[in-house]
Amino acid sequence: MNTTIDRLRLLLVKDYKLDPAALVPDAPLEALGIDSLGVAELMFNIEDEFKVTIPGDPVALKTVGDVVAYIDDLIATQQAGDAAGNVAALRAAPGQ
Amino acid sequence: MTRVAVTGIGVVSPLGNSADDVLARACAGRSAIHRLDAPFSRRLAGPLVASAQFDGTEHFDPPRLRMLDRVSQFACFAARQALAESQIDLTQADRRRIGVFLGTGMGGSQSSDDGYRSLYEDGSDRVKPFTVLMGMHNAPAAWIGIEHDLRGPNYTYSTACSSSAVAIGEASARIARGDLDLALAGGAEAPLTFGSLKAWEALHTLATIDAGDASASCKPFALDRSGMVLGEGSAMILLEAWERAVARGATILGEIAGYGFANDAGHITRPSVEGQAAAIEAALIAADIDPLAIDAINAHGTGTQANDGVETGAIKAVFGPRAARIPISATKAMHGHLLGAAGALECVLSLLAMQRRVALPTMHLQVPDPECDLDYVPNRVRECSAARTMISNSFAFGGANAVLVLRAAP
Repeated sequence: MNTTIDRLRLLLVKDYKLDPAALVPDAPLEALGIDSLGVAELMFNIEDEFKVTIPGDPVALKTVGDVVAYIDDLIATQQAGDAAGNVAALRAAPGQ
Repeated sequence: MTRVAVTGIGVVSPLGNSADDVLARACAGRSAIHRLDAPFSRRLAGPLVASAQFDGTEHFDPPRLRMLDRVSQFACFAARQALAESQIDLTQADRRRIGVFLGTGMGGSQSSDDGYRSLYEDGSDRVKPFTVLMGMHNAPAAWIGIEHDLRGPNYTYSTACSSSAVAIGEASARIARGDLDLALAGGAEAPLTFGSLKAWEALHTLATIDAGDASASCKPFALDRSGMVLGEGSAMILLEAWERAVARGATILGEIAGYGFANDAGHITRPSVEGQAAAIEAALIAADIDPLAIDAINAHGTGTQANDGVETGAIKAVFGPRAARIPISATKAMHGHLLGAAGALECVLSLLAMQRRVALPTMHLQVPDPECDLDYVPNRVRECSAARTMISNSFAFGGANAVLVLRAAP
């Protein structure tokens, strides 16, 4: 299974035609041509790719590594949330 | 008042993406109108369009391209061409005195269409973050300003089908007054979406497909005309104060000699002889010339029942018996109706035709209409060395009539 950075690389190569070799964790997003507005759009695409929901609160993401950490954090929190939700749903369903 | 020189021309259009290509194809009478082959074509009564062969990936970096609706791509590319041809050195210019004046009727309609599709058809609750920025009408002009660091007035005009004639007219007035040194002026339109094609279809203004030749479906001033065909593209010209252009040794391609506007204040769609004639007269007054000085006309000539008869009447009202001896070209038969970009493309075609000393043909005019009884240069380009001063008509829904007076380069 691909790691988060692998999947993010694929997304950035496909949508932004970036050189995969340049997509190292320390690479600043601005230098890749992704400014704050571009980050807003990237978040939209990340929601599709990683099946997560980006909260409305703004976060400062400066580098590729920041984005990877942010995605991992969202996945961890939201999968934990889903699991809790499923358990609650099962408990609430009568006769199951 | 300063004379207004045209020192650069840029174009993206169904007839080609350079001034040379566009003129060659127009002279050859080769229509770019074709059947639309799209997944939604079967849901259109008459799937006809005039599309531009244009691939944005060849002209913009991916991060920028992701923010540009097709309409902005057209406008930026046309503006680049105009600046390149003018050979202007912008580093020597006062950027606060360079304006951008752009007309568009529908703005970023593809982005709006995409947003609606994801909400209403796909049932998504999410719309792409750039939807507003790509859809807003002033995006094309804004991107031109950003791309070339132009800090003067950056205006977008939306008067439906006369938008870009208004933009060129308003820009030329500011140069003539000395408010600006330079202006990129013109229009852009990219309306070939399912949503906008259906909306135009519902107005019963679109042409039915010619059974023998789809490319001949738009027939301005012909008895068997059935309507217009939507086209897409952009035309941008660089306007420059005359003395400034001469001083820097620029090649002058023509002159915007006058601009007139008259509002019908009548019906929202039905054109009026009085309104159109008033706009022509206003343009002649602005240019300070007699009607006798007009050698040729680029007609609005949409190929709709309503326009062509009324426009014929307006030309007769202004020019009297001499109207029958003025060559009138309706080039929409070849490039379709570019809506907000139409006036700019036709301004460019008129300047190029005068340069080449021809009157461009009104194609597909095989069956004359007794009501349209002027000289429309039917079906074949004509040598016209006497044509040094023209008017270009642009009339619009809403009653917004705009006319440019154009003069050939000296």
